[in-house]
Amino acid sequence: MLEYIEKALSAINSPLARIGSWIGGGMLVIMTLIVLLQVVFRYVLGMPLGWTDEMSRFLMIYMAYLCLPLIYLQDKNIAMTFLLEALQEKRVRHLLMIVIHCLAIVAFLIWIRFGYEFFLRGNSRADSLPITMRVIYAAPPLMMTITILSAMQKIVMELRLLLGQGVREHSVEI
Amino acid sequence: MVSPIFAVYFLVLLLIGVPVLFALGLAPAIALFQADKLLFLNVLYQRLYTGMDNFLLLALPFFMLAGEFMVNGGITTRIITFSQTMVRHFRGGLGHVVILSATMFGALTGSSVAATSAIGKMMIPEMERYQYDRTYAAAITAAATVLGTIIPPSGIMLIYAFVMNTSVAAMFMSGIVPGLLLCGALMLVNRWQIKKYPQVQQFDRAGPGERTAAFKAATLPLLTPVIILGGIYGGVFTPTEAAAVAVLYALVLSVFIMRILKLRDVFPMFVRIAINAGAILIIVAAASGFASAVSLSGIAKDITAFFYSLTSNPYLLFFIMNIFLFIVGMFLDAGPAILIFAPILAPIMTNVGIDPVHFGVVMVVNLSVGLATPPMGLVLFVASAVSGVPLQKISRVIIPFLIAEALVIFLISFFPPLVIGLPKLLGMM
Repeated sequence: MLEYIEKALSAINSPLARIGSWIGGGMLVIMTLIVLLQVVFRYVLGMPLGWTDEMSRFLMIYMAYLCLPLIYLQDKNIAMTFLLEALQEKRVRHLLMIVIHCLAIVAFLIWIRFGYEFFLRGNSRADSLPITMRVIYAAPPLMMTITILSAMQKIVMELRLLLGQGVREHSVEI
Repeated sequence: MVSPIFAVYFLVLLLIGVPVLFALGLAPAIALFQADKLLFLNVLYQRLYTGMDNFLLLALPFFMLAGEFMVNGGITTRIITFSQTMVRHFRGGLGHVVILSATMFGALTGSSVAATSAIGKMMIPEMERYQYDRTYAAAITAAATVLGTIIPPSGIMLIYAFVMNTSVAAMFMSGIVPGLLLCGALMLVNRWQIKKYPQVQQFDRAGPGERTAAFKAATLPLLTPVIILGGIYGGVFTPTEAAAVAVLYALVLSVFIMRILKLRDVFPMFVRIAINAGAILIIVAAASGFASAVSLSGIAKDITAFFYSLTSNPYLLFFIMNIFLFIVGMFLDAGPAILIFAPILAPIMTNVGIDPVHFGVVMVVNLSVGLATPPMGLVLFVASAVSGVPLQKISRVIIPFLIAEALVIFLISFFPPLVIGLPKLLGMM
């Protein structure tokens, strides 16, 4: 049963995380080009562009949050892991990991709730781009909602380990 | 008022292994829930967006990207070959090569972990081939590659400049002399420690022809810091623009001039850096919310009062701060440590007359050395993985190097001109 749930979650999470990180990588390409364009227009052509600063900032925000599911699945969140390492090979480690993932979900839920309110208030227009701020404010709550699925997958995986049911490797490649 | 107890929650969450990102969000949330002030969570949440909405922060992924292209674009061989022709003939020559390579690598990548992996993969087997002890090779690699985040450009210096609103250019310039001092100190320790390994092979001094050829090969990569620092210092670019230009330069160099990197490998590197930078940027944003909770709780005042109750002598304060930061660095990564502690500790030091740039550089050096200190030094883990030597063995052999690095930290703490002398000379401060 648990294996089935884990497989189902993985089937959703892996492609979502991979696509998110690819789009994030694409946004980094665009950010680089925009800032280089800014350099050329300001210093070479003497005609500063008004939109490059804002657009590159917005792209950076999207880039970071689009990568969040993969950051979670690949355990790239920075943490002090000495206690977890001391508990290596012990069952209680899996219990602790379940608690940690549950706490992460709580944090996400709080952020999503207030993020949604913030999103609803974003009716103002961006300074230099023809979009409302809602487009940008949507990134954190949306991607956190998706990342909760990754956290749930991790919980099921740890639960299986805790119950000694063996585990499939879930290394999501980019 | 938020209860200062949230600092305890934060520490407990960190200690049980909750990732920094969630500890930064949960600890103030629990305290606000207890104080029945959940509305304030709105402000905290907004920081998840506004805390990242800054043009300067774009420099972080750009510097990481330029480093990624450089590391994968074949510069490691050129830098190591150049270093060999310069210092291989001294006693413990290959140890000196590692140290000099790490110093130059720092100017190119800004990442200690990337330097440990790249230099370690090449130099540890090479040192073993010439009768160096493998553990010693791993230890010297770990000790030297902390220079990656000290010699500019440096990602964590950028984070400090962002958090404390100091000049990035002044921070970068201030890192040069401490970086060179560390390089010299490590070379002295290597010269002394190598006596324990009399079996190591000596090399002949490189001839002028060999040196010139190696220098020519290394010139183009070594121009990167010149472009970055020269561009910023000369007022040509902002730090973010300089970083973007460095990305373009590193890309052209690796793909079209040195032709090591294939064009098809480039996009996956953008994706990899988007992920790695994203992980840091989200913490930067969450830390911004945490900083609001810190200022509302008055805990910074309590900490300030605590430090001033010990002493108001700037030198003694610096001594105590360094011990504190050294302990923090043993357990926590440099980036999050700066985000959490710089806004609390820097004002304490500036109040007693210490320049914020001076304190920032000492903090960066201290926390960078922390990357190579047991039990949780990230660079130590990488050195262990690359060499196959257990962490415990490297942790013992690295001690003399860490002592030398600690001495340099105290030296630069107590003699400010060693840090801020250069930017002052250049009129940047």
